Amino acid sequence: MSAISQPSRSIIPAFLRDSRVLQVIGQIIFLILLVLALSQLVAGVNEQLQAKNLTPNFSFLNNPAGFDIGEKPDWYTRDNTYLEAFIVGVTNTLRVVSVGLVATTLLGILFGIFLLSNNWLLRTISRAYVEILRNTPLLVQLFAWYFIVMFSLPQIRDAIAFPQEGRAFIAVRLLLYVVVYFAMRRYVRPFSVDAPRRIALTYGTITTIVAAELAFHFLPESYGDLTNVSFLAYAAVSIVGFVVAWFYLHGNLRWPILGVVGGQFLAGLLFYFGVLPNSGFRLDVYPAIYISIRGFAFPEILPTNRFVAWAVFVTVGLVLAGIMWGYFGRITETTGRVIPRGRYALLAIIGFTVAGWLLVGIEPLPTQVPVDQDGTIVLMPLEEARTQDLLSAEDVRLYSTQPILLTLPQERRNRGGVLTGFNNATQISPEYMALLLGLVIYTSAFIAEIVRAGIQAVPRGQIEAARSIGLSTAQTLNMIVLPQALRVIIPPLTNQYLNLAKNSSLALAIAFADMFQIMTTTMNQSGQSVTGITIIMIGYLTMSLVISLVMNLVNSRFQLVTR
Amino acid sequence: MSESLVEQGAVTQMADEPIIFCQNVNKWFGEFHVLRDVSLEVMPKEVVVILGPSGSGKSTFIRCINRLEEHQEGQIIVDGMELTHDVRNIAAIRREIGMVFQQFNLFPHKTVLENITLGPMKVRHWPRDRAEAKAQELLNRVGIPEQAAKYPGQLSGGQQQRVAIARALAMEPKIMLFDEPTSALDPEMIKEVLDVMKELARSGMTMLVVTHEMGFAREVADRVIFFDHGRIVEQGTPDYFFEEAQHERTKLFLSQIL
Ligand SMILES: Nc1ncnc2c1ncn2[C@@H]1O[C@H](COP(=O)(O)OP(=O)(O)OP(=O)(O)O)[C@@H](O)[C@H]1O
Ligand SMILES: [Mg+2]
Repeated sequence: MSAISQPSRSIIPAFLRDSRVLQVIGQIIFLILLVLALSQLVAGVNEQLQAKNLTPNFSFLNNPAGFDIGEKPDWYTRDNTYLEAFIVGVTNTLRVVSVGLVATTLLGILFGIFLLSNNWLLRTISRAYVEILRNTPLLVQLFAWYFIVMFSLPQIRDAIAFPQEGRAFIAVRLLLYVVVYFAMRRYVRPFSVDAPRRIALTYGTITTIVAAELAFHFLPESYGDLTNVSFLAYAAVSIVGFVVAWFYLHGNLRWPILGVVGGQFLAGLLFYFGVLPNSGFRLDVYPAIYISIRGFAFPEILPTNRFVAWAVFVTVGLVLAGIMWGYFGRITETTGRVIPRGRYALLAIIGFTVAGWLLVGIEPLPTQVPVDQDGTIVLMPLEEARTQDLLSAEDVRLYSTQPILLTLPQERRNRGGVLTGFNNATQISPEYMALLLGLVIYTSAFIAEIVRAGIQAVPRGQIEAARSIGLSTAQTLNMIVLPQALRVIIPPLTNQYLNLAKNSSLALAIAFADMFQIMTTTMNQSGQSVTGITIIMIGYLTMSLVISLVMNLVNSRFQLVTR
Repeated sequence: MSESLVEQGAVTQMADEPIIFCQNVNKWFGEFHVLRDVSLEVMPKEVVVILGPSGSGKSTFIRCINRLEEHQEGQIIVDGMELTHDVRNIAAIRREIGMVFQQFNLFPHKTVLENITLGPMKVRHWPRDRAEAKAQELLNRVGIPEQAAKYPGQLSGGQQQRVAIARALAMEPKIMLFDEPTSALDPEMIKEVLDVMKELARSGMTMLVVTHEMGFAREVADRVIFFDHGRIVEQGTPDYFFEEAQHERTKLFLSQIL
């Protein structure tokens, strides 16, 4: 006999009571309703637009735009089409977003780590940074960057130059300090393994350098003079300090103070025995960056005709490094032999880059080159052509032994000698800079919080377990903490990336010519608002989808398997 | 003085030398004095069970032995090496000591096999084959040979704790520390973990176990130590401890727990 009771009979057939079938039927009904509603909506809007003669139509994009753009490539003029104007806008948006994503990530990670610092000052400052930035509107911040910061920059004729033009003096003794520091680390530290002596050593090294510098600046008359009164006073202070610290100080202060007096004594000896060299060497310095209300001028990076050949070397180096990385990794796995594969890979990359640079430069330049002088082609020595500024941009790239030319901005002055602009410079507008800074700094505050929360989400027990099986601090960070922190960090980080990309449309407020600003102008002029809005939405949608796609791929690598 | 002691330990270590030597260990958390003059010697192959009320410093003490916590005064010498700030000593000592935690602390993003092979491959530089063979052998020993490819999140608590024991054993340690290994487990899983620990004790492993499992203490321990307020109040063989304990505090504790 069956013990299972049959459900009561019903007029509804059995398969219609199956929950799985019901679910499918429910979804189908929902879909039908949705399609009906949408088609009604579209038909209605279409009718309205037709009545107002506003039917979506893409053909206007081929009409001349007739407006100029503040931030544009050389080829764009007001005669170009709306489509070409829009492309300029897209490029500008991508310039801000791509640089912005990288910069905000780096800044956010930095402040996220600061938020977890043991140092009270650092922690408090970064907490204030985060709270102020994420609790004020981005639009206000953009206005501050543009109308306050950028507008307070000097006129171009008084542009701030960095570094200042002139001579730099590098004292040889500064190099000596570096040598002292590394010698201490390499040869002295291993012998003093316990904490007190290491503390003394650290304080001692720092004091040596500081005291020697002070003596150099304030007691120059006694340099190398052992009978000088100030030397005797200096030595007396050091010795008395040492004796007091050695015999009378105990507890926490003893070792640091011993380090300080010891360092001071050593510095005195170096100074008074004339060991610190007085000489140095000079360098000519030219400004690389100019800042003014008209924007920022950076050095120009120009690939020459030999760039491709050099790029081949670099690529080979990279590929080789990748192969070595994988190959040595497999050897380590199968034999257990430790190979510093990171060092080898780095060596391959640097080696090929440098060797390529040198090899590409071997082929000599022609001594005589044809140049265009007042309409006639004449042969003249290359150097002469260069000094007379007769080489075209094409020639400059052709007659270079380097694969990349880095040219500093050249000042352009009018007859009165007043600075009016720069040649050979990469120029950045104040609008671009304000938008970039605003987006990067605002978003970095959110990323800092995400990074902090992500690192804190890894339980302390994970770190303790890692240490207890003998992993080093670096191994614990790389193999245990980071993979687990990234799992928590990446989804909200993706949201912040999307925010930055979409918030770039606030460019409109500070007149930066991004794709939204250009499309707004286009819509005002052509009246094609439906098409315009559609295009702009597709534009941002595409950008967001690409970011999401990339981040989802990254995220899938850090998923956890659970029950 | 400290240096001469270390050297003695390193040169003349013999079978009857203690493998763990603690003398007048003191530790403070800020103002709070957690460990007070703790002195203890543990011989190789000895199984020591540490009992005591909550907050008496048991965890802190065994965590000092592999330097998860720093002691501020006194001396701890493990296998002839003194625990100082010297990072090389700390690394060397951690290689010799395995630790099992109350909360398992398995790495959730790595499979059971990877959890076990990580230490041998990255710290001892074993080839993968050897590390995996060892891992499989240990999984057999703790009774879960078929779980190697799973992730910790897919295992029961008792299975996770046994993987954690296998992970610690994979480094071939000379000493095993257990901090309440069964306290986070359901009653029916406690036995499977205790069985593994008993087998380990019988195989001659030196063990320091903080636990509330009195049955385990009676059956396996060579010595029982009672902690209270950061001090070792009383110690002795299990028979002595459970039957003839002298100290008031110990008697009170035993009356509450038995
Ligand atoms: N990191 C810390 N900072 C401050 N106090 C701590 C810290 N860790 C532990 N303590 C304190 O030290 C004391 C001893 O802690 P410990 O964990 O060693 O006790 P226990 O004997 O293991 O107790 P239980 O049986 O509850 O695990 C407790 O009072 C605890 O609050
Ligand atoms: Mg505890």
